[in-house]
Amino acid sequence: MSIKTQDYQAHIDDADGRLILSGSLRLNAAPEYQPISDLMDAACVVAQQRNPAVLTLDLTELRFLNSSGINLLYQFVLKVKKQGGLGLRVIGSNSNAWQPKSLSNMVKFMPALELVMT
Amino acid sequence: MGRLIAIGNLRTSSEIDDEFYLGLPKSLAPWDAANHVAQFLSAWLENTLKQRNFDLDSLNYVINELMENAIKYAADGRIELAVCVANDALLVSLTHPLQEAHAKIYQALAQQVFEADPDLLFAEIIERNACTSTEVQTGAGLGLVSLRQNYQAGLAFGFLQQDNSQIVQTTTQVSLPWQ
Repeated sequence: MSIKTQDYQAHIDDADGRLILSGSLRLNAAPEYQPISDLMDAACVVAQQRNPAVLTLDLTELRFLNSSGINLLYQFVLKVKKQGGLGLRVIGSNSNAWQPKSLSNMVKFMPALELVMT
Repeated sequence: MGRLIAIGNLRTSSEIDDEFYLGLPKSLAPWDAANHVAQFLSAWLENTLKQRNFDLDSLNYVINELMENAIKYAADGRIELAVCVANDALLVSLTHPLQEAHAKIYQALAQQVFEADPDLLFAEIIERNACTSTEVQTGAGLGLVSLRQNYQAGLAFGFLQQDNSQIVQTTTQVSLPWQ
């Protein structure tokens, strides 16, 4: 399952089920992010079938994310927390300037979330 | 005669020496204009900002955020962006027209963003969006809050309405302090 455009790519890795977002995401508001949200939900289903049931969200190659995209990420974290039964690991990169700033708050929304900054 | 309502320390042109202006009509501003303008200005100012050890990605994010809001919400007219290298900070100001009713909504939001604890307001907006359908979710305020929260930005706003006009010239000014 994947989405590929000129600006960004979103796909579920066949080998380990991680959801990888890469490129530059600047979509216009929540409805345009719906396909990515749907892919995130699909990645949860895949991860729940694994042992341990942990979804890894790999953002290391996501160079830019606008505020609507940040909303998407945090809505996803809240959804995973609310549903329960699934761990969430988010991998970011300090080389993407927005990530240390914007990802660090995720653990406040979901204390069990594992945030790894490379 | 017009009436100016200011929120925060809004610096006007008379207080600023050198500014880089870029203006375009709303009608010629598709969604990806935000990216193009942000990339252009970041490249234009690269040498100046590198001398001050300033993070170009921060400027890119700020300009993109302001431009996206303008493209989404501005009434017909011009979107005008100004960037000033001041002694104490990098100032980014974006002015565009808003219908009076929209300007009132934005003014209330601006007041809230200006006054609130950014971490608490960020959480409030995220939680509020979680309770609304995707179609009506709005990032209104989230981008502005993130500027305060993650970029230590100072924010100021101006709302200028001429007599007998239903258009309000709205300015959002972001002050990014030098490190």
